[in-house]
Amino acid sequence: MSETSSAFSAEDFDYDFWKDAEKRAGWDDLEPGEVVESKPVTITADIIQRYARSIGDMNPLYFDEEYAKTTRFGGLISPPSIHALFLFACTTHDHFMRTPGTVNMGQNWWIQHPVRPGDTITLTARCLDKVIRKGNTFAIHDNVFRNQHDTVVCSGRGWTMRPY
Amino acid sequence: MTAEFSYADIAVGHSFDGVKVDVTREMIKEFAMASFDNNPLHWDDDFIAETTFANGKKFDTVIGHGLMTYSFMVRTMTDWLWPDNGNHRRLETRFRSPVYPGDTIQVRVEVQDKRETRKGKWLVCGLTVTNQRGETVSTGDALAEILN
Repeated sequence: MSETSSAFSAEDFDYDFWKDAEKRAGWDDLEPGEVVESKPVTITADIIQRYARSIGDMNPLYFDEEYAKTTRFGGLISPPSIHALFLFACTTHDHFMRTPGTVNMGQNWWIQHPVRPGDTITLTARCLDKVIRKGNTFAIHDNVFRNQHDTVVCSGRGWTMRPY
Repeated sequence: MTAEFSYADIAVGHSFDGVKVDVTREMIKEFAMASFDNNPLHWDDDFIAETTFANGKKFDTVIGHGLMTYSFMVRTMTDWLWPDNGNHRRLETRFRSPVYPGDTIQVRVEVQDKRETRKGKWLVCGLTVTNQRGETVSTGDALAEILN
């Protein structure tokens, strides 16, 4: 994929998580500390608003630019949970987050700056640690999200239960 | 933006009910499309039926995304804080039980502690998300920054 910042749309995304599933790393293959492949994504107001609608959050800060300009944010922003979509939009189809049966156990995100329409977000993603507990295998994820100014907008960790 | 509160006005122990959501299959599917997480756990009943975890547990039906619950928790914080000169800065969650279609879940927030640092004023908040059976489906620790 090109490094140039053309706007991301849902048509660019492959929703078939079964496709090439066998090519994804299983728990044994994950290498803690190794940064995995990712790609920058330029987010549009459309993608932000579709996400906001899906969670029933019709805050005018996401939808009404004239209103947003009058607030301390100075323009449209996105919900702080928007990073959910960058976990998938910025990673490649063979990333282990897409393995069918991956269960999210918990998430922590520190929010440093709001993401705005037109921002190009780059994700530095890796498995940081691997755990076996009560018979199940888990991966600890570490994610840092930067914008086009190389400013960190969000940073945090998650952990998933691995199907294999 | 009116009715601004200040850090001094907020007492430890203050609590309130936040976002309440009737979860449906359609909502889960819409979140899958909008968040680009189309894992079959969220839409494929056959996959759910044939999936047993190493500890012997199974899901009853398709499940809602953990990050969908996360988003309702964050929304509760932003609905509260943004009109009143506060910002949501951090949320750490544990997704403790599955959220199923047909569940009604509600977020509750309690201010557990306050702390002034050299440059900021912070509320330490505990969040719980319960379903209609009173089961806790998610818990969270949040930090709110108050700007005045």
